[in-house]
Amino acid sequence: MPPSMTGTTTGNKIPPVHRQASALAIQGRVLLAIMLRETTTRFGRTRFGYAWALVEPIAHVATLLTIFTLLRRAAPIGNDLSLFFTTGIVPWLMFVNISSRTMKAVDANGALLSYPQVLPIDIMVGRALLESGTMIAVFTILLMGLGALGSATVPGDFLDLAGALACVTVFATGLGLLNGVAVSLLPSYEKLYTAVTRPLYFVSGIFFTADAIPSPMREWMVLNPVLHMIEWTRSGYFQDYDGTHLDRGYAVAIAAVLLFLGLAAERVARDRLRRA
Amino acid sequence: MIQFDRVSKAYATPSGPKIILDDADIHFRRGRSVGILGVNGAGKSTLLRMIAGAEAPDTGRIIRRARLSWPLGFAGGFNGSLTGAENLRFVSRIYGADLRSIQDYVADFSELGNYLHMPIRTYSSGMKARLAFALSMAIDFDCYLVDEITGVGDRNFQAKCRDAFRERRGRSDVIMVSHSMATIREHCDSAAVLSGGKLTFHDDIDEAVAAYERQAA
Repeated sequence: MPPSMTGTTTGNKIPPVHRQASALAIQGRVLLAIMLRETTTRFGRTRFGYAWALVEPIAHVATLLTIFTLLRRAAPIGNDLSLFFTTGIVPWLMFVNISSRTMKAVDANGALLSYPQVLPIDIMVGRALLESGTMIAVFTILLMGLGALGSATVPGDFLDLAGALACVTVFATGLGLLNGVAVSLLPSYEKLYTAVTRPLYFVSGIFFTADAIPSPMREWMVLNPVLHMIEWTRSGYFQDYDGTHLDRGYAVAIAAVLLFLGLAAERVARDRLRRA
Repeated sequence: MIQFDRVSKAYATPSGPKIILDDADIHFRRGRSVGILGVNGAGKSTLLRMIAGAEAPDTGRIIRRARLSWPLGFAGGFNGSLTGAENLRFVSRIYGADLRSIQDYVADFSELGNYLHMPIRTYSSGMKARLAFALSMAIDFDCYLVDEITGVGDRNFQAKCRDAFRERRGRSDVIMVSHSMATIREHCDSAAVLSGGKLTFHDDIDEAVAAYERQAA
């Protein structure tokens, strides 16, 4: 049974001095409190605070830009390399940051579990949502910056773009929940996960499109859901691009399955996570 | 107020399972303050955490019909990199309490002054305990769960804590784990002994102490 603070009051001679709250209302306010707290711990402790969130994607884009400019490559979509890389790096970092920060959430905030109404899932989902929101804000700022430089315009299909980022969030949160449970069972899993995701950087279409992959290899590479999510982000952003190998249904199905498995794993391992 | 319905709880230890509760029916009544006695390792702290809801039973149900505190006496729920005030805001939010009035009460009671706006990691253990105690008094609980509260702060502050607790006893109950019979006699009107997977209530504290001492011997 969920450790909600209050149940139904029957037969209490002394009326309780507090408002009765449903389990859902309690979970809602716990989630909000965790997000506000995480915002402070993540951004409020250093001099430049929020600016740090921009440093990582800008550094990635700048590196790729330097390499591709030296190689004299043109952008596969549009005519601006920085815009092409930005639309690949943002969903990528969203995926990596949500899934790995959710993995470490319980370890970093285990002390909060001494409050009975705080569940491991609140800590993990609170972190995932904050991370997703941060990346959306970062994306907006980068696009406005590129817009000021004359290379970015408003997204071609706003709803499609929002769908892509929502899919990344759901996918990475589900994976992050599974990761969090895995780490509680096997602490060295964290290293394994980092080792596995790092090479994905090179096969997820951050600096190329799925069309550019030669045929026998492509059949294998399109199994990677992250590739689809990056293609989807670009299809939503660029007015005249729609990835021929993009399968939105595949991306959504994988995301839904992972979220389901992640939620189920947290439920099964909840007591274990509390003690860890 | 709190009802244990056929609850079992055991821990795996290297020397086999350690049974804390075995198919136990327990009822804590409103208006009654209970001291829990038991030998070291009987599982008193685990029982308290189960009452609070911080630990789930292996089997059975626990029904709570009151607003219970977290197990007091620990200061582990604070984040060292956040200030005292920031930690207070978090706890106020998860209990749905008014941020302003909680902070005012704690500032006044804890006597932490400007330290309230310093990161917790700069606090001494005494300051941390003062913050934790003040916070638990600031939120109106129906029942306080106390795990071995020992000396917090100096003599002056201890007197203040006792007064606050005594005053609060008018409307709130206490369930307390302590090795100090004097502490239990001061705050509780009855006692219960945890042993052999059961919790046995005694209306008379002396009777409970006698039962406990027979087992401890």
